[in-house]
Amino acid sequence: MQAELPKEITKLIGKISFKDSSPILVQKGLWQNFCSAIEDSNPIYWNESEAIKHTEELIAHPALLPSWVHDFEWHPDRTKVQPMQLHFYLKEVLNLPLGIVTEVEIEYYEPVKDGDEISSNQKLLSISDLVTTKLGKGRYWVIEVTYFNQEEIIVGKQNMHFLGYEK
Amino acid sequence: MSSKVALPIKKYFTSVKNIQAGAIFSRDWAPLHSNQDWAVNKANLPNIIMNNYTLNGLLIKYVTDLYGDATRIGKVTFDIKKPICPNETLEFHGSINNEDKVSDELSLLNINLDIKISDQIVSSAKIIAGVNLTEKKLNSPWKIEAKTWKSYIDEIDL
Repeated sequence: MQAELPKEITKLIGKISFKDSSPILVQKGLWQNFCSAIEDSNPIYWNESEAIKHTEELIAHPALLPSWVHDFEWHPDRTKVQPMQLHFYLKEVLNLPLGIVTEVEIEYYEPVKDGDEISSNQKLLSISDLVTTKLGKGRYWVIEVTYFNQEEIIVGKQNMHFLGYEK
Repeated sequence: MSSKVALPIKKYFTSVKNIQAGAIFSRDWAPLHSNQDWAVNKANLPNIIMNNYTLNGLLIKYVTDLYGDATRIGKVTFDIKKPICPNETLEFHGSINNEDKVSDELSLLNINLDIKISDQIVSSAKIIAGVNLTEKKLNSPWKIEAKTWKSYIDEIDL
């Protein structure tokens, strides 16, 4: 079944194919909204005088690392850039309109702080044969995303496992 | 230390509001996290589902709530076996798989977590966290330089 993959997909395996730049600077108000939603009271996200003991200043919740490269849902001057463009490209080329995350591996190297500008690049690591699941017929794929700050320092890395499928 | 040590069970109730809020505040606009009609009729899902950033946030919160604000998360790995929908009580069942004492004031914990709904595991996670388990609180794990920190993470096989 692997042979049935279009050439434009197989040639992506192992190569950086998409880059995302930060549509917004990292902002404490945004990460504190998220912390509020999950009721996370850790002072390193909220309280400057406590954070200074560990991280010198407040830091963003680590779970939000991928969020800093997500575009606005709507913008007055341009169309939306899809986050995880490579994932959406695979769905489109393979004609698998639906997709869910099945597994995540994420590593954190440097804390992300107010005013940071995060960018990322995406690499297709693998793609499966056709499978039939409860949700429908599709394929699994794994995308590696590396995140950088404005100084081009790698702040984290994640592997996202997806199922792309059709009903 | 290599024998497993059970950690306290924590609970979290999922509502439509907190699933939507978790998605929106993580800038995840996908309709399967906020639009019930779309989730059911277009995506074949039972309801809107929790997004992976919210789930990751709750996993990290479980560990930092237990070990305190100095806890430094190095790596999180988790799967999603079943969609997590509104109006469910999630139970977080954690255990320490391994504790590696790097120095007097730094231990690397390898934590296993199962999230259950009505005794069914809906997600399993593994987390590497740097903690200071001593009474001395002079050196926070956050003070470790990034290159050294990464080398610690690389050495642990989850």
